[in-house]
Amino acid sequence: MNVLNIQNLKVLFRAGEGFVRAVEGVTITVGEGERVAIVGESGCGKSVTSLACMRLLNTPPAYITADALTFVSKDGKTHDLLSKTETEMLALRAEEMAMIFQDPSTFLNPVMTIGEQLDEVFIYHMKMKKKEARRHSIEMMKKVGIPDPEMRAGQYPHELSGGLKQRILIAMATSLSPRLLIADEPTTALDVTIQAQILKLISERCEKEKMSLLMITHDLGVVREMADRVYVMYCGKIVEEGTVQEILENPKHPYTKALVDTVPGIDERVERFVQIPKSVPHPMHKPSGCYFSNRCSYCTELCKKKQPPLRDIGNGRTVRCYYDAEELWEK
Amino acid sequence: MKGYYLKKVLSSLFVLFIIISLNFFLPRMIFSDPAQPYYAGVPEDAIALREQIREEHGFNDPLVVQYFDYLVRILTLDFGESHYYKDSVWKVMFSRIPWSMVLTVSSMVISVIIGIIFGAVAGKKRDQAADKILLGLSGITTAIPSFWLALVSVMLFAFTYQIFPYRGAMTAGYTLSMNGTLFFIVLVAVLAVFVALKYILKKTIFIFAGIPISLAAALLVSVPFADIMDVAYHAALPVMISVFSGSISYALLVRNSMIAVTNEDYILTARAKGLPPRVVLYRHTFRNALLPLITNVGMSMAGLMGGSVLMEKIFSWPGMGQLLLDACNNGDYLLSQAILLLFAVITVVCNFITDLVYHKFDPRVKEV
Repeated sequence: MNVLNIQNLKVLFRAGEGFVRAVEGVTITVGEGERVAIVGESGCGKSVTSLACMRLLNTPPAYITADALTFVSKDGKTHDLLSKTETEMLALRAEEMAMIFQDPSTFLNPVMTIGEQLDEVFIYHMKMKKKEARRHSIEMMKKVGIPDPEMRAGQYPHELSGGLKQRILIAMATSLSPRLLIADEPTTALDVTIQAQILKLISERCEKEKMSLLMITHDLGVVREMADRVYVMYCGKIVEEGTVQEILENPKHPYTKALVDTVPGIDERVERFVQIPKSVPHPMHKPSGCYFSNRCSYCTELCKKKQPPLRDIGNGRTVRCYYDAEELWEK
Repeated sequence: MKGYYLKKVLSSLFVLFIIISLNFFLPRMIFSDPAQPYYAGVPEDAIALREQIREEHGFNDPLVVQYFDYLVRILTLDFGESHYYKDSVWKVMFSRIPWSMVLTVSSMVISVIIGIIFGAVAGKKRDQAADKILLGLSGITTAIPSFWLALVSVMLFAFTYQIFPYRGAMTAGYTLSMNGTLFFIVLVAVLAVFVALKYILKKTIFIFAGIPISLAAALLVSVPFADIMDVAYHAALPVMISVFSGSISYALLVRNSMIAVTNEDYILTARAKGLPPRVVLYRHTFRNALLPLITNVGMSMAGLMGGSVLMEKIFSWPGMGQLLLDACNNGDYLLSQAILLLFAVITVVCNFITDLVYHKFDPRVKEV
């Protein structure tokens, strides 16, 4: 059973006279207890996809459409997220679907104490009194490994390190043990040593609370650690889907292959870092054919003319390319 | 923390010293002869008599000696006597301060309240009707100087339509009767209640609320209601004009910072927590958006007792601004010196208070 089912999700943003197509028909499913990753460079529409699921995009300027955007809550009910009113969404957020963000230093309110910010979840969702909420908050802070939680609860965000702040955000998101946890590049702003701890904490929390995880990242190392299944996203479209192992070891799409190639191995001496030439096209000026055509080293005339469809190549894998990988890699 | 306050106090004292010194030297650059006012009635050719007057008042001493004499007098809070009003400078000033405060405090309080509400409504939804009205009005208030607006409204509302009085703070012939002791007793009593509440309930808000409420209560009790109404009637027009421009500029400030804060990442966190929009707006957005307003209000608080010179002149309001203007015109430099010093002290003290208050609202300032 799929906890989250996104079918053909499209997100447009009004920008001046025209529209920016940030997400163009994305289909993603997250099963129960499954850990799914969305991978891609900055500006691929990963974050927008996740915010659209939480209905956190302001409409307007955003316009969201989908064939289906459903979520199954803990009590087994299926919710059509797009037809929900804002008030109905309030009950789902934090209780059923929660989110961890990129930069813990800007995602905590600077003028409220850590305790106050954690309490709010209990006060507004569980209708608890302040004191009881604080007791739960401190309990949560212990669960995410914060030393001396009583003291920390009275402190302000600027008094905490980045790692601690991210732990607070994790505590906040998981305090009502939601069904689905969306983590939007949760380790990007942290030191490498802290990154590993935070990833471990997220996995632990997911396992303990039986949460499904939708991980958004550009870091293939994180993907290897944290995901069962991977969607590779490029310019608002899914270009490849498969299990972690398959994707990382046997990429079928030139973009995925390029991404995998850019990761330098720690044990080999690299003369030059591998790069993907050029950068992600501006969402208003995407190439006419395949969106990756202008950066693809295997690009043909056909690629420049027409957008390739998403092909099912068996084994639960799909790829958005005209050519079979084996043919391509031989060239 | 202690060090922070100590540093603030020391720097404030230093600023005061500079101001006090400037206060001594600047008037001596403006008035050709500081002794001039003392010659009143003395014929020009009575040189010996003039010399005697100069000697008596110490104008013949070297400037350095005069400067130190002056410093000593300031430190002992002895401002001398105003030769124009033939009364102690202290007395002259204190008879005017309350009048200035009537105008400035009321227009400031009303401006801030309107500004916050208007700004919050406009900033809540950008480009909606309220927002567009605010932007339009702010264009108007920036383009029209308030003294011009004051002159036009005096012509329109005081002469053509005679809805409001055009000069003074009370109807001619009236004097304000005020029970000073009662005022003081009520002020202290009400304030004490609020301070007690603050310590019992541990909410600093009681102090902020207590000051204006106790002042208002004391005034209501100690001044006859008819007198209050008479003053209110006279103050209405100048207050409305100040509020018109003041509230719009506060509203614009609140609106802009509301919009800026709405786009902050932590607002997204608050929404992702599933907090009701009302809570996101007031607990998260609004609280952060008020920070720039506190600084702004704090800075204009300094002008409270100084009053607005232009406004008081136009409405012949017997306040400090008017007094300063007259003192300068009359060459009453002991008085002008004392007024300028008072303004300076108030400015420094208000800035100091703003610093203290600000860091109650923004904990990050502690780090400075």
